[in-house]
Amino acid sequence: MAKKKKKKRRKTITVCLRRSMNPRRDLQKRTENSLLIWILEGKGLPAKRKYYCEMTLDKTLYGKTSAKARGDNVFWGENFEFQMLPKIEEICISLFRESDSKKKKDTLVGYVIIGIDQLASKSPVERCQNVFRYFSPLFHRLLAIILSRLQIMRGEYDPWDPSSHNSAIIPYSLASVYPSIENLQAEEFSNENGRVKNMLKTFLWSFKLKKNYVRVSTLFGEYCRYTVNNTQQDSSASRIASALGGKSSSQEVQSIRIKARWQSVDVLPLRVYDRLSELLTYNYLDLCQQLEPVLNVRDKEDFATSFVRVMYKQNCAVEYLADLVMAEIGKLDNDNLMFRGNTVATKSMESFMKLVASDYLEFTLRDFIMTVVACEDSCEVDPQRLGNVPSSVLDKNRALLTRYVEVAWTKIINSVHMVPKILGKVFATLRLRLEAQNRGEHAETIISSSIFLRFLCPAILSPSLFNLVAEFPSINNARNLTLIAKTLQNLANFSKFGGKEPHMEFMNTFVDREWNRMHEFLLEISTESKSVGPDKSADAIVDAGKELSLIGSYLEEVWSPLLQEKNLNKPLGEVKQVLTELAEAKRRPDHAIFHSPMVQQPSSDYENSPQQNVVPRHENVPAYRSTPPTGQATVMGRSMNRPATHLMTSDDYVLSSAFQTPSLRPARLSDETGTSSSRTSDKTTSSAEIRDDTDSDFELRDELGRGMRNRKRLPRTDASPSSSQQASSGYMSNNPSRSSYSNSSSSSPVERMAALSIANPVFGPGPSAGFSIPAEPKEIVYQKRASPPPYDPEVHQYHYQPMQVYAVPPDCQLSPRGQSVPGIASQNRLSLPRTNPRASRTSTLLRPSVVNVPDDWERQGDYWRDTHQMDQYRARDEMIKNQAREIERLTRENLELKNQIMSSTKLVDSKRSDSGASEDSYDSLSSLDRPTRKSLVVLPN
Amino acid sequence: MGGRSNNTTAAQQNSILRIVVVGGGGVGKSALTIQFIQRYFVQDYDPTIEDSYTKQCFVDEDLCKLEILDTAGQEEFSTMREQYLRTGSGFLIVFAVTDRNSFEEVKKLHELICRIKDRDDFPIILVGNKADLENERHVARHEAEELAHRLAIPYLECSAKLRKNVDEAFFDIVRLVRKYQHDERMPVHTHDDRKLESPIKLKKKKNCRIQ
Repeated sequence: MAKKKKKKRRKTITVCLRRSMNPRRDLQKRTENSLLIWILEGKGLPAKRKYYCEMTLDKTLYGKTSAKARGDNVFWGENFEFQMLPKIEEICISLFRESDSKKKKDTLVGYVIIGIDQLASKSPVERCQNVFRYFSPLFHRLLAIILSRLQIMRGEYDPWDPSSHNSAIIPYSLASVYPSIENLQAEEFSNENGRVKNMLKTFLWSFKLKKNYVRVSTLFGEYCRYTVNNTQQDSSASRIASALGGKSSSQEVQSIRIKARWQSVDVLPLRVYDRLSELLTYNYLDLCQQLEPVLNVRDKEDFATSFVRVMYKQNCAVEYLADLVMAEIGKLDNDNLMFRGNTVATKSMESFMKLVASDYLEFTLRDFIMTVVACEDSCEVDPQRLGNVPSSVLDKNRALLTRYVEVAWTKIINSVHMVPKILGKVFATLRLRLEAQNRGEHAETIISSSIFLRFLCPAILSPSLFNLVAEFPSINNARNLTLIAKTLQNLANFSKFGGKEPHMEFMNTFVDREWNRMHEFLLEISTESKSVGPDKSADAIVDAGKELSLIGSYLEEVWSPLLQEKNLNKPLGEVKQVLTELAEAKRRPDHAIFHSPMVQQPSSDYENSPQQNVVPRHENVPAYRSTPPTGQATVMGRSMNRPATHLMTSDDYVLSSAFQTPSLRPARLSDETGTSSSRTSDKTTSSAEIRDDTDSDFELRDELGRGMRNRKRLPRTDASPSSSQQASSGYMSNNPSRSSYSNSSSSSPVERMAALSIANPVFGPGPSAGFSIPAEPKEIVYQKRASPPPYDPEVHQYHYQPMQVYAVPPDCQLSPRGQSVPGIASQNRLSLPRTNPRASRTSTLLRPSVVNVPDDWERQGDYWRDTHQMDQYRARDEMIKNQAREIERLTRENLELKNQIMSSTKLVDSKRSDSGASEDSYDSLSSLDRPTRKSLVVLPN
Repeated sequence: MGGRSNNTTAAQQNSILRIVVVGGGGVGKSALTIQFIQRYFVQDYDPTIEDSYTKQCFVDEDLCKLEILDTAGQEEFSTMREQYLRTGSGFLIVFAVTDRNSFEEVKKLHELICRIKDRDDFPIILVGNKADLENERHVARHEAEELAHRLAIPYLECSAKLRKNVDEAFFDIVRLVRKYQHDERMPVHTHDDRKLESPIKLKKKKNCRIQ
């Protein structure tokens, strides 16, 4: 409980931190990644002890489910939501079985890898994932055959015999399989023998067997399967076959059912959405009504959520909800059906309550739910379910249920003062409007179905969905909660038990008794003067940019020409134009037009991140100093709208992508502190990836905490210098590659087979025709993050230095660390980040350094290193040279430019002119990290 | 229930069949269920959270014990849905012919059931309720039939108020469940094998679906 609260507070703090770290968030183009994932159930697992899952995103542990025993299946039903994630490549869900004794490690049963691209859709993707990577059945079959052949061939070695694998892993190389493939005159392939053989040669790179897993590296990536290490008498062949999902095993294929959604939203600077936002604000009702029929059922909820959030941000949530609900009531022919369906109105109301009233919910129900969940006593009152039990049991259960319901109801009544004011306002508005229409009698129905049917009762019924508890309640508990929720809902319906379920009739005394108090409660929460709840929920933090961007994309999807035609010459006719503008803005790489001299910064809140690809333009302060007050830009005019996308330019500004031209990619830049993210090298858009070491970790520490227990048990091979984050870094191989040769460090699931065989030289370019080593540049360099994410105060000095910025005289080049580096040196520094954007986070003078930090883990890749190292070195040298040249050139240019600018006298900070003081003060926070930022600020004169 | 007493021998017939009634809010799931169980029409529209009923009846001269779960239409209760969907042996997906919205939700529910059951087909019947409100109809019969055809499930139009097709819906689902369980039990092999072995059986099943 305390943990939950702490988590919540942390979340709030995180958001504040993010704000202050990046006050310009809303002025920039950014990408917001979020992941919503339900780990639902595991199938085909033996009924043995308890199972739990750990979730890692790109090898970083993010979450862990509770351990559940198998009933029909192993059902977790837990959901995780992560906001503000770095760009990730894949999700790995590792399935563990708890050990029987505390000393033993939990067994890794298997794991599921889901490429993030599989999840990129607006609505959640749900499917059963077999507990290994998917391959076509044919391929499974082939592998099974090869592996069984191998067993026969290598009869002297029994991979299942514990005594023979002290060395942990016996690598097999393809070379040893080859003969067996050659011998495959097997009936299975008689007619297409040659083809199959070639296929195998191409597909199979290496594989290895261990006691409880099979690992095969193939063209498709790594195939890895942990088998359940159940009985020793299983023949090895069948084990392999079952490991491969072969049919020879009677065992059901183990799988995990997962529902997930990866949302990557490109958010433009907030200003871009001005028109959209205006359009929504003035025409919400019309818009919602027109979209209602065309919106996909799935999208409705998300759409409504985004919409109500935007409205909340615009301070017109009350009107929005009232209008929408009233419109819905007006439309219905049958008063009884009011607010029953799943419409935009009901969905809006629901997500509004979730947004503003989560504190209220927590305050009201958490303790109660905890009590119920902690207690294993049943309060089943259905004799048919109870079976043959003495009537005393029934009486006892009835008494318990009555007590539960009474407690819950009392809690609800007593916390009426906690109902957020704004929610009370919505209810009050609805009541007034209904009364004005002489339909006052419906007010109660509406209010009750809002707060009970769509908020309180669902929260009681599935507390894990509302973050009241972490774990999905046991069947027994779930039934208890259902009975409680049912009784309360009946009371809220003002209906008595009877007809439907006779066994509930005994609760009628309660319903009768509380009838009036329910009336009072509903009246109280819908009377404005009386609702004294908190003004605004501290939780209600809305990222308006993101929501607007989402709405934009929904509109884009459903706003058909037909709708456009219908709305021609009406206010909504603008929609099309607005959408076109948005699309336009999205295409523009840079949003310089929005008054902030800013270079595109794809990652949302990581302005502070030292690994920036490109230093924002305003770092170049001297240039701005002399900018006339009218705007940003005369000086920079040349490159204002279109920064160069390559380095071969005399332009001062270059897009980040210019630094990542393909030729540079294979090599890796690394800073001197060794803390740069190693992820940066392979993607042009990689700056978003960098972020994994900042906020998200912050926010997720709780999740990490959950996983900690287990993590500690896992072996770790890397020497981790520091405490808690480091623990997680066991899961953090920064190597984004997920294919065969990249093993993460330590305790990631893959690590278990870490020692690893690697492809046999036989299959290097040469011997076998038609077989080539796939050139995957990103695989070549292995780099490991040596230090934990930047909580290190040494590294990140987020000290607040209030207003210092304003005091900086125009010509004083104060660096945040107090070093003033005049003259050429300072210019040097100014220009450097552009060429070596990932350069050090300390303010020491930068040298372009390209260091390949080799892994310290036991890589199997000796072979790879041997063959590729030369190339690597060459590439690196070249890169260094290039960089040096570039730096020189830029330095020269910069100096020129600066001199030019210095000659002008008026100093105006263009930035300041449009963002106001508060942001500037934020600036001081965020700028500490980067020396040159300081110069941004100019004296107001 | 009009069936005559018949000594059913197979134990399987005696096992409880769990029928789950799902569908959007206010489509008349409870009305339908109560009409079937207790033979009267509930006038009030109180939202259900989760009600369960049991009933024994004869279907095709075999006794069956039904446990019928009447569920909430509101999506807020969706995790609960997870749990009871997993235990259901047959499903009635109900929508109201007067409510376009509820019709749109059918596909989603069907998909959900198939996912949770991890099957492409499962005993499911599509039920269009409130067929008596002909002049408020928003979903044409042929549309519903088309959808049912696409999902490869039978479609029935009911009226809980007039008790039209109510028993039929429940009996049909019982038949489907029996058939399905029979088919599942018969071949020990996996689906693929069965397909290869008995195309006849498959055909039969198809017939059953069309009904």
